[in-house]
Amino acid sequence: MISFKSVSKLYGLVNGVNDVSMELSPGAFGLLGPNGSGKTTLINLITGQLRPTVGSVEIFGENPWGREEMLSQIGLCPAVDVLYSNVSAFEWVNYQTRLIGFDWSEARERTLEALATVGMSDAMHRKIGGYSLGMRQRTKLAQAIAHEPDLLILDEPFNGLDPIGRQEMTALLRRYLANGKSIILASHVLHEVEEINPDLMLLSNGRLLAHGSPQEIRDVLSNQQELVDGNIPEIARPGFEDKVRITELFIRCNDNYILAKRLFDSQQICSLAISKDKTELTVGTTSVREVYTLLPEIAVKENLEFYEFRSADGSLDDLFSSLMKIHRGES
Amino acid sequence: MPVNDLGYRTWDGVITSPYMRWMTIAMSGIRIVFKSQWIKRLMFLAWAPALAVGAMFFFYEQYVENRDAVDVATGRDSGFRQVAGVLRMFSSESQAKIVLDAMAKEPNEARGYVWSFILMRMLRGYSGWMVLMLVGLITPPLISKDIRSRAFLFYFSKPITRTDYLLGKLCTVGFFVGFVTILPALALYLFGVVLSPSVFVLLSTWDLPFRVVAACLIVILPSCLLGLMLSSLTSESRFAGFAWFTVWILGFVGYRIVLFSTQLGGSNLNIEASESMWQAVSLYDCLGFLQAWIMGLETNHSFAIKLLVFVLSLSAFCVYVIMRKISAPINA
Amino acid sequence: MFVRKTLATFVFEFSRSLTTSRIATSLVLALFAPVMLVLIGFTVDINGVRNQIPFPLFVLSIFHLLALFLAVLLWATPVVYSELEGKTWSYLSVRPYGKFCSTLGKYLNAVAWAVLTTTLSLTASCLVISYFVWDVSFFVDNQIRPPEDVAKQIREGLNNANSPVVIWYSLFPCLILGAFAFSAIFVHIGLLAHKRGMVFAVIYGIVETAFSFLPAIVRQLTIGFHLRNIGLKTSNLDVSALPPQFSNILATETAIWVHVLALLIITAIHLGLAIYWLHSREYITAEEV
Repeated sequence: MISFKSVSKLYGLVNGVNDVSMELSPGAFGLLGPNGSGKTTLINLITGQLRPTVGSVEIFGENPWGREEMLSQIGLCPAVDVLYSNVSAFEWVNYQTRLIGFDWSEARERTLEALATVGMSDAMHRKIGGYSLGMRQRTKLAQAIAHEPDLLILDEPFNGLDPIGRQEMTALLRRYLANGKSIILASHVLHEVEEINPDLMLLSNGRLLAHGSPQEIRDVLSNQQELVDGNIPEIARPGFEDKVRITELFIRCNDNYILAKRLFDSQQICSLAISKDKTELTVGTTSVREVYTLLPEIAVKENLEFYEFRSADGSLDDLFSSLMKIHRGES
Repeated sequence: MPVNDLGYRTWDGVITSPYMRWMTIAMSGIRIVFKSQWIKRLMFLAWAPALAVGAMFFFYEQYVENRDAVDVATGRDSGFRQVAGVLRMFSSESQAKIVLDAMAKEPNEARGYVWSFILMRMLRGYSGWMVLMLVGLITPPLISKDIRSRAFLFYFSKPITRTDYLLGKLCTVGFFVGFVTILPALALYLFGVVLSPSVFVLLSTWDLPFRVVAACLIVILPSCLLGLMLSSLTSESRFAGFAWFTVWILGFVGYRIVLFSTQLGGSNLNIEASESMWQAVSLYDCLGFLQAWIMGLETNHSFAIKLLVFVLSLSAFCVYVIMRKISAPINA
Repeated sequence: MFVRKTLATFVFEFSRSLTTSRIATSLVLALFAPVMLVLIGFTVDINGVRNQIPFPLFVLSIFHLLALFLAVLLWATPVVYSELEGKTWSYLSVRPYGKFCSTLGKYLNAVAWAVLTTTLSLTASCLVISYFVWDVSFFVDNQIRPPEDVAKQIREGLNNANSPVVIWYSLFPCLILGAFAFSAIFVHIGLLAHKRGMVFAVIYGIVETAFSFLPAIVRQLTIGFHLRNIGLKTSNLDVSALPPQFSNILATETAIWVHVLALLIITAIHLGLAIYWLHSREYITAEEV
């Protein structure tokens, strides 16, 4: 569906994206990165608003620059706010839909349907200038989905939405995916990106740090044996002064002390710490697989009941932090 | 291991004077505006005519050194006739008469008038248009962008008054306008002194630098305030830019049509359009008359006072509007 | 479909521009000429002037070309910059042919507003002029004149270049054609230099006006020259009867249709170049850099 081959984009001397290569099949993708990482540039390259300085971009098998017809297959909901303050949502979405090429009556039908989908039917005839941020966000989404594009690109779609709105947005995106459409979602709200279970593209300083499913990326990280300056653990065991990569695991069970005692015997465990409220055990290890193997045995032997188990790379935040550390040369 | 306290700490350094806070706004604005390549080009171009106009000083001084008083009295002085021709081409009849009368009597006395005339050509013929372009380039987004981005919240959550804000914005545009008007004119004056045969020219022209600064300020202040007022009335800078050019163009053309009409057919009220309040229609001509009056080239003092009152009233009105618009977000 | 989208943009932009401030701005432009004429009429001896030149035609043509220039400056120059400044350009450019259709639709909107503004101005000015120079009198010695006498005087007046009716129907086509031509040029300038479009457009206007009066080939490339000739020929003004300083500049033997064709060609060229720039240039909002 989308193909980037060694794409770089320069704005004068400023690097927008730097040597990005990737192939994306239809599906859901999360585009993650801090401000200035190149997310918007990447989106603009996909939608044909920018030409790459180096490399080539293909969308649906064609170069998007100058391929105007192809744009009817793409829907874009940018991060910027809509600022037509003296126009109603209905008028604006209707206009945007007519620009796709629909005639008056069909555009009107689609507009009404799209505004109903995002929950703006009641307010659609009011001027946008009087809308809240969440209402403007819904209006932007309506114009992006009104023509049912094959590829929906959303830049910070959760901005300004209350928790219910976010849930509704997530449900809408899931339905969209279920209809066989594709979504690229750029966001800083990482746990909401995870909700639609996308493959991830992690950008930083214009470079693509990693690309794949969260599990694939975690596997890559957990198998890494690079020599780095490790953090000093709370209970440091001898023999671990060498520079190794340490993964932290957070475990909650009915008797953390017994579990700690049993884990202490393992050679792969380099640190153990119990939280102040005594409900959580933090295990530092050089081999997560070893711990995975030990835990069931200990659970059976000591009759332990586990409530929660997560690794430091178990959430997207931690995943991204780890990748950033690698990128900066810190781990 | 001792643990350092990296928490919040109160500032115990020296705080600058509250009367100088407007400078922070001005310096920041100047830095932002100066990033524009076009502004840099315009500011460079502003100095180019000074060299050409400066040559006029040299030629005049050479003429004064070598002229024969008898030839002037008998009308055989071709240099005098050439100067008269130039004066009539580039100035009004009243201004030309003042200069020529002084030249006919005594060239050393006329020096002040002739130098004033040369400096006026610089201020009117070139700097005036530069002011129009520069203010049209710089002022439209100065306040309108703050309105659009709601930057007033940032400004007035600090100990900054509305006056600081206005002064800062005024100085932002005033810096550039002054750079292309006051500095070239003063440099031109110095150029003239340097090209003169004797340093005693300073005795007859000592007042000119002060007149030049005053003549520039009479254009800079109302123009910049008008530009800022228009910028404060809208959140879209293009409307402010449009309004700026419209005011000048409509006034300029309208006044000239009236002038042309009275010259052709006369006036029902027996008033010369060039010395009636019709001049107030055209800011360019109104300010030009005041500049000429300050430079000593116009002697109709009562009319000049009327125009001065008009210009000052306009400036006061602009300040009033700007202050109201600045206060609006605070009062909302 | 291209036409449909362009018209959709025109309808949207026109309805969006019906705000109080924009209507007020247009009214100010429209009323400048009539107000100036009223003031001139009461202070200047118009009859003394028009004995030498066709003063009403002369003055109205200047005022209305100026009003046209300013109306087009406001509406046509910022077609792209307004979207970039408002950060709404992305919405248009990701539509198929969106940037082209939206630009052309805005161009038509600019033409519409320019025509409306200047037509209102021209009509009001002609009414003002008729008060001062109307040669038709309905009464003589406190008696109503016979209708056939009044009709005859009106017919004679219609052939007079000072007649408000003649002025209206000679200037109106100039304003229409000028609106299309100037809008095309200013849209082109606005696309070439979108941040400083208005400044460049003003400079262009000054240079174009100067060149249009030069008795040289360059004036054929200016819009003002062609509009002036169309107005003169439509008004049946005898150019050779004017003072020499006017007839030398204004006189031309070319037929009206040539000037109209020249204007249409200039308009098409500038619109074509505008489309080309839209196709080949990248327009991005500041956040994206």
